[in-house]
Amino acid sequence: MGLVLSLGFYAAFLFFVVGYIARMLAWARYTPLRPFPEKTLSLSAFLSGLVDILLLRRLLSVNDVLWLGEWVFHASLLVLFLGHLRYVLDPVPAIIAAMEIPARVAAWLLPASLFYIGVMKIIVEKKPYVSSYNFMLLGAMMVSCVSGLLMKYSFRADLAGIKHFTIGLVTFHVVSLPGTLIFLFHFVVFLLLLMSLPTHMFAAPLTMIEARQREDELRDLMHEE
Amino acid sequence: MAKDKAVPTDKIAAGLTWRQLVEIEACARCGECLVWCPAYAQDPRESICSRGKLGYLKRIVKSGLGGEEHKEFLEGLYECSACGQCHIVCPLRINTHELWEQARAALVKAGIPQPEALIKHLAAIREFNNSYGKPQTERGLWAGKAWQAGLLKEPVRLWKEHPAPVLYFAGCTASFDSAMQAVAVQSARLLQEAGTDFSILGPDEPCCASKLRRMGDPGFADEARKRVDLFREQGIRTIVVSCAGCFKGLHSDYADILPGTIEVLHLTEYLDRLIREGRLNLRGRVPMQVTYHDPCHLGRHNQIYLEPRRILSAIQGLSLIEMRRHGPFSSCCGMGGGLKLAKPDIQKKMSAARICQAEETGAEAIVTPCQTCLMGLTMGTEAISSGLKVYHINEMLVRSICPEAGREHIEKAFADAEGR
Repeated sequence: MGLVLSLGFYAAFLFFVVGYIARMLAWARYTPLRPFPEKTLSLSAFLSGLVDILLLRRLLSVNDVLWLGEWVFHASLLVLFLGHLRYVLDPVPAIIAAMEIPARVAAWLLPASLFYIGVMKIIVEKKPYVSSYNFMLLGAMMVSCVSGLLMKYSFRADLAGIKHFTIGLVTFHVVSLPGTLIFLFHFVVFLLLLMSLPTHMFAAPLTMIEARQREDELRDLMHEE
Repeated sequence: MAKDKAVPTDKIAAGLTWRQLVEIEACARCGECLVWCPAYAQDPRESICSRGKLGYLKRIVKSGLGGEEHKEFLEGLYECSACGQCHIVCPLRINTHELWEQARAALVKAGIPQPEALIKHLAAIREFNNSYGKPQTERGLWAGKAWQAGLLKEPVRLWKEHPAPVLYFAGCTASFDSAMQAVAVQSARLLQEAGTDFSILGPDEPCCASKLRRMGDPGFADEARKRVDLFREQGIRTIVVSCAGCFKGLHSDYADILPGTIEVLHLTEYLDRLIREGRLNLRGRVPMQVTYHDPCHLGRHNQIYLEPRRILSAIQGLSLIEMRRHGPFSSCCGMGGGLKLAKPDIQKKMSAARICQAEETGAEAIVTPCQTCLMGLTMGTEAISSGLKVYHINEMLVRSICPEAGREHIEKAFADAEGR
C-alpha cells in the first residue's frame, strides 16, 4: 500500500507540474514568449501588489463581508501548509516548529471560513456557482480539514509512522504506510487537491502586481496628483 | 459537446498577449463580477459576465469550444459595454475590458467578424472619418452657426488660420448630432469666458478612431498613428477634449502607441484648472440639487473623479448628492463598447437602471461630462418616462457664467437657423 500511495503522490505531483508546463508550451505555440510584466516592474508597484496579495485589499474594498472569510481561509491555508512542512523536514527548522500552535488554530479556522464563505455566497448573496469543479474543490477542502481534525483529536494517528512515510516520499525511499485508515483517507484527498489546484493560485499574484504597475503608469500619464 | 472545426481556436489564442493568457488563468471564479456587472443585471446569463467569458476564453485557449458554446461566447463578448466595472471589483484585478477588446480583435483576425451593426458603424468611420457617415465639411459648422446666433463672444478660429496654444477637439457626436451640438458650443463659450486662446480643426478634425479599438478592429493602431502624425504635422501641443470616449482614445489609447507625444486634457480637467486659477468667474447662483454620473472612460479608465465634482461644488447654490453607486462603482449607462449597436434593448435597460439610481437620491437632475453618456441617460429617462433632467456639466457652468448660452437657447437658435 505504501508503494501504491507513493506512486500516487509522484503521479499527482507530475500531473500538477506537467499541466503547467504543457500550458506554457501551448501558449508559446500561439504567441511568442514575452517577459511578464511587459514593461519594467517598479519597486513601488511590486510592493503595493504584494500588500494587495497579502491583504486581499481589493476584495476588502468591494465586499468586506466576504473578505473576512476569504482572508481567514487563505491565511489559515498558508499557516497549515507551513505547519505541515514539519512532516517532510528533518530536522524541523525552528520557524516551522513555531508554527505548531498557529497551525492548530488554523486547522479550526480553515473549515470554519470555508463554511462561512459557502453560506455567504450561496445563501446570503445568492451567487450562482457555475461548475461542479467549484463544489468538488470546496468539498475536498472541507473533507481534508475534517479528516485532519479527526486525526488530531479523535483517532490518534501514528505521527512517527506518518513522518517516516512522508520523509520517505520526499527522499524517494518508499516505506510502508502507517496503519491508520484516517491518514490514508486524508492523504488521498490531499492528492486529489494537488491534482486540481486552481491555476489562479499562481496566475493571480502576477495579475495583481501587474495591475499596480498599470496604475503607476496611468498616474505618470495624468496631469495632476 | 463536439468541437466546431470552423472555430479557429489557435488563431484566437494567438491574438492575445502573454499577459492576457496569464490573466485568463487568474480567474478564481469567485463571482464578484456578476454582482456588479450592469449588463448581467439586465440579462443574467453566465456567458454575459466576466467569469463566464473568462471561462470560455480559458477553454478556447486550452481545447476549443463547441459550436453552441462558441455562439454564447460571442454573444457575451459583444453584450458588453467594456465599462470596466468587472476590473474594478475583481479581487484579482484582471484587466478585463482590455481583454475583451483584444479578444474581439483576435476573433476578427481569426476570421470571425463583429455583429453586423458594428461592422457598418466601423465602415462609416473608415469611409467618412466620422461615426455619423456625414461629409467632413459639416464637422465644424456648429462654430459658425453659434457665432451667427450670438452664442459666442467671438468667432471660433480654425487651427490652420490660427494655431493657438490649445486645440479644442469636439468629437463626432458634438460636431454632427444636432441634439449634442450644444456641448461643443458651450465648451467653446466657456473657453472664451476664461480667455483661453484656442482654435479647432473644423473639417480637418478626424474621428479619434477609439471606437475601432473598443469594437475590436485590428486596424486601430494604424489609424491612431495617422492621427498622431496629423497632430504632429500641425504642431499641436495641447488638446482639450469634451468627449469622454475621445479623451480615452486620444489620451490613453494613443499613449500606448506613441507615449508622451501630445498633452491631452479632458474639458473637466481644464475647466477645473481655470476655475482654481481664478480665470473662470462663476458669478451666478444655480440653485439646484443634482447627482453626478461618472462616465466609464473618464472615471474607471482614467481615474478622473475629483475634477468634475470640484467644478460642481464651485458653483454657488448647486448641491451635489451622490448616487448609491458612484466613483469607481458608477453603473454604466450602456453607451460604450458598441453595446448600443449590438444590443440596443440591453443598453436601454442599463440606462433606465442608472436613471432609477439617480432618482433614488431625490436630485432634480443628473449631470455628466460626456456627450455620449448624455445621450444614453436621456434614453434612460425616456424608457421609464422619468421626470429627471439630464444635463451636461457645461450647462451648469453656463447657467452660472453666461445663461444666454444655455442649452435651450442654443437648440432654439440652431433650429431657427435651419428653419426647423
